[in-house]
Amino acid sequence: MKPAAFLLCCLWVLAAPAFGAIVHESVIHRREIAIAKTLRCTVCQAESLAESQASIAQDMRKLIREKLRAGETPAQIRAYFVSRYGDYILLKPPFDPLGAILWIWPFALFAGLGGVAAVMIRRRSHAPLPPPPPELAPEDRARIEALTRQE
Amino acid sequence: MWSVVSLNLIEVGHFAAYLAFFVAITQALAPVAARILKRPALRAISVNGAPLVFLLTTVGALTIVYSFLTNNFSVSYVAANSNTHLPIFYKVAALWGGHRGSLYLWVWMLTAYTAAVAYHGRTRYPDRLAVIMAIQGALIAGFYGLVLFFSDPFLRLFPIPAQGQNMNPLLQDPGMVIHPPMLYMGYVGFSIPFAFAMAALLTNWKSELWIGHTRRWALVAWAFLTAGIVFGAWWSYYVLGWGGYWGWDPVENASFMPWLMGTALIHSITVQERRRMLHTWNIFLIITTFALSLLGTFLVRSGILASVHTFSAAPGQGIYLLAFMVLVMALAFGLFLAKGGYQQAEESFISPLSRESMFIWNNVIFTVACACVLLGTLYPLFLQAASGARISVGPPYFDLVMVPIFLVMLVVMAIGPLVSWRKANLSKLRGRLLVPALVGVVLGAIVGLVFGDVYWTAPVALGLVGFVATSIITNVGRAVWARSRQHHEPLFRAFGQVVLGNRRHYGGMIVHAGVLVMVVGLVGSGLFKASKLVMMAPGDVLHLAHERVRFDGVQDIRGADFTAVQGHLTVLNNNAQLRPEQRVYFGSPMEVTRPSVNSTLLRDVYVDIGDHHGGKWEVHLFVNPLVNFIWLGGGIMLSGAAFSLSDRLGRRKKSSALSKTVPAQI
Repeated sequence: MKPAAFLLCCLWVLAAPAFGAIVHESVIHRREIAIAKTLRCTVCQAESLAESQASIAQDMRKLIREKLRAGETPAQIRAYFVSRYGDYILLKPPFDPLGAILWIWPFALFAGLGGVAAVMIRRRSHAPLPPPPPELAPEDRARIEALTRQE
Repeated sequence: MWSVVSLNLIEVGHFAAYLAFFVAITQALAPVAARILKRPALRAISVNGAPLVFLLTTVGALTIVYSFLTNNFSVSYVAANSNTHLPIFYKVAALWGGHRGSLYLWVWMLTAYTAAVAYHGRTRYPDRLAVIMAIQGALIAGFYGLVLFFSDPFLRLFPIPAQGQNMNPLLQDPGMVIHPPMLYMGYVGFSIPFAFAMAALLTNWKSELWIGHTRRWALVAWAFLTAGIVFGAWWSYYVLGWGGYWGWDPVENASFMPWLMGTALIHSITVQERRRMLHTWNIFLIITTFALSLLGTFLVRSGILASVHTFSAAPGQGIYLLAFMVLVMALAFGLFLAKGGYQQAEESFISPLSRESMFIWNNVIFTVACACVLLGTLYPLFLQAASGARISVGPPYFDLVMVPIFLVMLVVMAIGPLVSWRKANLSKLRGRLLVPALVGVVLGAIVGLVFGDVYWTAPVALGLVGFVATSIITNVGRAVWARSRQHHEPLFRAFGQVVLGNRRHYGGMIVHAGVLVMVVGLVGSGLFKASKLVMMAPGDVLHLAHERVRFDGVQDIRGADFTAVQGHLTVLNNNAQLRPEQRVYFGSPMEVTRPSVNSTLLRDVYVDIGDHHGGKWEVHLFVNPLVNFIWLGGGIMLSGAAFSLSDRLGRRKKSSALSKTVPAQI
């Protein structure tokens, strides 16, 4: 905590009786949410454990909290959930045979498309072009001919 | 007597919808018949059919709305999505409040666009209008097939229930009235460039004659899609109570993909207009953008995705949509390969450093962005279907992958508009970039010093915002200064002349400015958001990010079709009252959280109320900095698009005398 913020907190603790009790959020809860954000609620529709209101999500958050209290690290807790639910629970897919393509894809695309674009720009600079298409499509020319014949 | 008519009026709508289906088929086939029978006059059927289909579809929509307003529960769609307690406001919006009706709205918008193009094209591109209308007719018929055979909103229910169920409680919000129609107008709108491109391929339509119209229709669709996405984010923020606005939910991604490709399109289409190149690439982009619009509809409406946005759908529908999508794309890309040769570049690059090559880099980045979202959205579905393995791709992945791409976009956005067409002078460009780059570096350094310990993205993003903003401002300033010197005009008059004289360009610059404002909001709310979840007794005070919020107690309240527990909280800093609710709607077991927000320009105090235990209530407080910049940025982007579109209006008045001498035909 920054000193100024700490000082401010102290001041407010002193002044607190005037406003009623000050409620604090535990540090554990903050860390719990940080972990919960990276894990999927298994019964929900595309929600993380942090956002979900489902009871199973709340139970899982409680489990995270207990594990944090027991001194486990976030990595250990995530590993525990992966051992129970598989990679499915991780909102950020790991770099393993199944998830690797997701991480390679952006770089490969940038390199591939960028390369194509660079080559294309270079090759087309000053390059002679194929003859331009006729000013009028064959259909249009036929129609003009038909119209002029009528007149 | 009237009551019987009123009860069965829906059948008129049903009949009108079937009629519209057959007219649309006729519309699609008329030019083919005209060609086979060698009777060119038959082509007029296509054009004249368009307003008729629109009219008939409107009749159908009106009878559904009428059934909602009169609580006609003999219509099963009405019975499933409305009841006598539902406020009138939502009864009208209930037309698109469920699966069947929302598809009908899709079709109705398609017919509306088609009728608008029929009107717009009667003097501007009369010779190709029939083909465009035929393609639109085929799309309308395809979607009508889905509506009428798989999700018919006109079906009846006997015996008639005395009371209906309810509209999904989450949808009962004013946002419901705006967000889906806007989004659909965007999705559906990309069918028009698609029809133009198909007509161009089919009839060897010369590029100059169709690209300008296509650009304008694409820009209209893009503006609606932008509005739909921003409104969706706004709605999600103010209603869903999770304190955020964008979750990389598959359905959000489904709307974001056509937006990304549409954005690439409206940039690169300018190159075709100005420099007569990228013809085939633009057609490819047009087809892809429309394909992604269809994919979005498929993902949302087929039930293969689970999301807040999906309604339960009848089986068979997904397969129909998939088959239709594959058919349309196969035909489109087949035609592209077969006849794309006529649509080819007529000029070449003069230098690798030019505006046109900057537009190509823009396209590369937007395409990569879109492909990343596409893979992240579809890969889990694919993997599960192919091997049964289940993985999740969620916000942590997308944030990590997309944020750097967006930052690169900002760099191109700063440099691109400064590079001149054809061949840029490198030393001149360096001079123009010097001040913006300095401003960016200084701004980034300041942000880094003040908030440096938080995230590397904040100083980089805000530094880039400063870079782009200064580049836009100095660019406008240079043009104004030059004009003022040349024409001996006062600066403000020169400014008006410059900006009004090139609305397309400066409309684009306004959109860029809107993007910058939005980026500031995204950085502020994304990185500096604070939240706390605590139990509070009346009188307790919670501190969060310099805000002090007091919990004053709760009250039971009753709405038109719900009961709720309403929390009373006070933001002590400015004495604002917060009233979050926990609602229970009639006929729904689910509790619905309604947040309450105290908004100022610089920060939102956002609060949810939850369960209670032993005289204490669960309070979830968020302080979200700069959220309003996101909505403000969205508004600026839309006004930029509107300003850009107003370009032709001014020019037409000037040239109207000239155009009258040109015959309408040929």
